[in-house]
Amino acid sequence: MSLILRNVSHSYHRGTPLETMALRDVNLTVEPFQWVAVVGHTGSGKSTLAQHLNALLLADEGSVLVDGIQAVKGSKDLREIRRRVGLVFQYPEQQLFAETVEEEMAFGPHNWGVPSEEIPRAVDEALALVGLSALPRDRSPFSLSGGQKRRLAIASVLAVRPAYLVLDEPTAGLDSQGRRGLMTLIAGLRREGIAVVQVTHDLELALAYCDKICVLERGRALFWGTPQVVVEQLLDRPVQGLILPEVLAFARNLRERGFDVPLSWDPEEVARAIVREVGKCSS
Amino acid sequence: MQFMNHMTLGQYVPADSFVHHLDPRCKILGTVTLLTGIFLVGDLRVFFGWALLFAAVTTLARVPLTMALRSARPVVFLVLFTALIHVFLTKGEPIWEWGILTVTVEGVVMASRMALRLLFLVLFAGFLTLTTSPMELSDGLERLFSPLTPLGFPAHDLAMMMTIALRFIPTLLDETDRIMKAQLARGADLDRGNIVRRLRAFVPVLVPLFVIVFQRADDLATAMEARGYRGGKGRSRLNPLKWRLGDGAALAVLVAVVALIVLVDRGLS
Repeated sequence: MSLILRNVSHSYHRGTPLETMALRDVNLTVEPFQWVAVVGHTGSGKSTLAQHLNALLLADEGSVLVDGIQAVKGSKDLREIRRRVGLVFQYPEQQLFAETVEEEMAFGPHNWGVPSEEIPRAVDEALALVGLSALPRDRSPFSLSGGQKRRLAIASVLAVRPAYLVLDEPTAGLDSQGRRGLMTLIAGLRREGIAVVQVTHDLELALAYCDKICVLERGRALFWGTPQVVVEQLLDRPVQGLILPEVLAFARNLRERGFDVPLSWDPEEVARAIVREVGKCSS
Repeated sequence: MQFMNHMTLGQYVPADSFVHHLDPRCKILGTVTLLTGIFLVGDLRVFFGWALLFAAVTTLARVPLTMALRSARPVVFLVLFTALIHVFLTKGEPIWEWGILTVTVEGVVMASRMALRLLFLVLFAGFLTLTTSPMELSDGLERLFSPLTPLGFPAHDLAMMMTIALRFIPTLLDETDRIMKAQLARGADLDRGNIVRRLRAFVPVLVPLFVIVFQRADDLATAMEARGYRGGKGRSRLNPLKWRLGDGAALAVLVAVVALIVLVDRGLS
C-alpha cells in the first residue's frame, strides 16, 4: 500500500513547437503515514508532479501506481485513484461554489457515491479535522474569512477520506501565523493516518515538518531522502532558486571560520552551540 | 488532461508583408468596402472575381492559402444549413421532387448565392484578423470612430474594453483549466450524461469562475484608478497610427477593384 512514481516523464504541448519537458524520469515513493515534501523553484515541475499523483495528468513515460492500481489512459480506475488521492490545488478557496457549507462539503462524497445518510457524518468528521467543527452548516462559504475558506476547501477534499492528501502550496498567501496553524493542521491529519504530499517552494518549511523531501530542478528529481540527507546534498550542490534556511547558512559560515557549530537548521541547536563556542573563547 | 490546449484564439499570424504593415484603418475600411461589395453582387459567375481577389490578397500578405481558408471552418455548418434551407424552400420551377421536398432551379441558384456570400464574408473578415493584431485592430477602430466622440459616442472606452477583454482571454482560459481540474479532483464528472446533466455539472466550474472574474475586474479598476486613468481625454500614444501614401493607394486600388466587380455584376444582370 503506497503511492509510487516510477521513471515518470511528462511534456506539455506534445508534438508542437511549444513542447516543453516538465518532468524527466522522476521516481518517488510515498508510504502510509508519511509526510513528503516536493520542493522546487517556480517551473521546476512540482505542480505537474502533484497532478500526476491523482491521475489528473498521465505520464508520457513511466508509471504511477496508487495502492497497486496503475494510472493508465482511459482506465475506469482513474476515478478510484482520484478518490484515494485527494488533491488540494493552490488557492483552493477559489474552487468554492456552493450556497452553504453543508452543500460545499457534500459535493465530493456525493460525486463518489457515498450513501446520502452517511454524508453528514463524513462532513462532520472532515470539518473536525480542519478545526471548523463549530462552523454553522447553513452559512455561505463566500461569507467566511480567507483562512476559513482555505480550511473549508481542504475539508471538502477530506470528506471522502482519501488515503493520501496532496497539497499544492497550501501556505501560499498566508502570514507566518496562518502558516504555522496550517502546518499544525496537516500534522494532525497525518496522525489520523493520512499520508501527506506537500508541494512547496519553501525549503525551510519542508525541513521543519516533513519526513522525506524530494528536490526538483527543471523537472528532475535531484535529491531524495530525509531532511538531514537532503541538506547534506544541498550544501554540496546548490539548487537553482532554492534558498537555504538562514540559520543553516549562518551555521555553515561559522563552521567555515573554524567554529564547532553543527550544520543544523534548528535555531535553538545552533544558538546553543554558539553560546558554547563563545564560552570557549572567553575562558 | 489539458482541456484548453486545442483552442486558438486571436488568429493573428505575424509576418513581414505589405498587408501586415498597412495602417489598421486602411485594412478596416478596405474590409468594410469588400463586405459591402459582396452583398451587392448576385451573379454566381461574378463570385469568381472574389475568389481571385482573395487569392491575390493572401499572396500579397504571405499567408499560406490553407491557413487563410481555415478561418471559414467554424461556419461551414452554418453555410451548409442556410444552403439546404434555400434549396428546399425557394419556390419556382421544380427539377426534383420527393414527398414534400421539392428542389427548384431558383432554389439551387439562391442557395449557391447565399452560401458563397457567407463564405466570402467570413473569409475576408477572417483575413483582417489574420493580418492585423488585436491591439492594432482596437487602435484602428478607436481612431475611426473618434470623430463621433463629440456626439457622445464612447470610442476610446469601447476600444479600451476590447483591449482588456482580449488581454484577459488567455488568463481566463488558464483559470478555467485550473478550476475544472480542482473540481475533477473532487470527483466532478464533467463529460458524461446528457446535455442537461452536463450543463448542471458545470455549475461548480462557472460559479468560481464568475467570482474570480468580478474580483479581477474590481482589482483592475482600482489599479487603473490608482495610476490616474481617467479615460481617453488628453491621452497620447506610444506608437501613434500613421496614414502613409501606401495606405491611401492600397485603399484606392481595392475600392476600384470592388467597384469593377460590382459593375460587372450589374452589366451581366
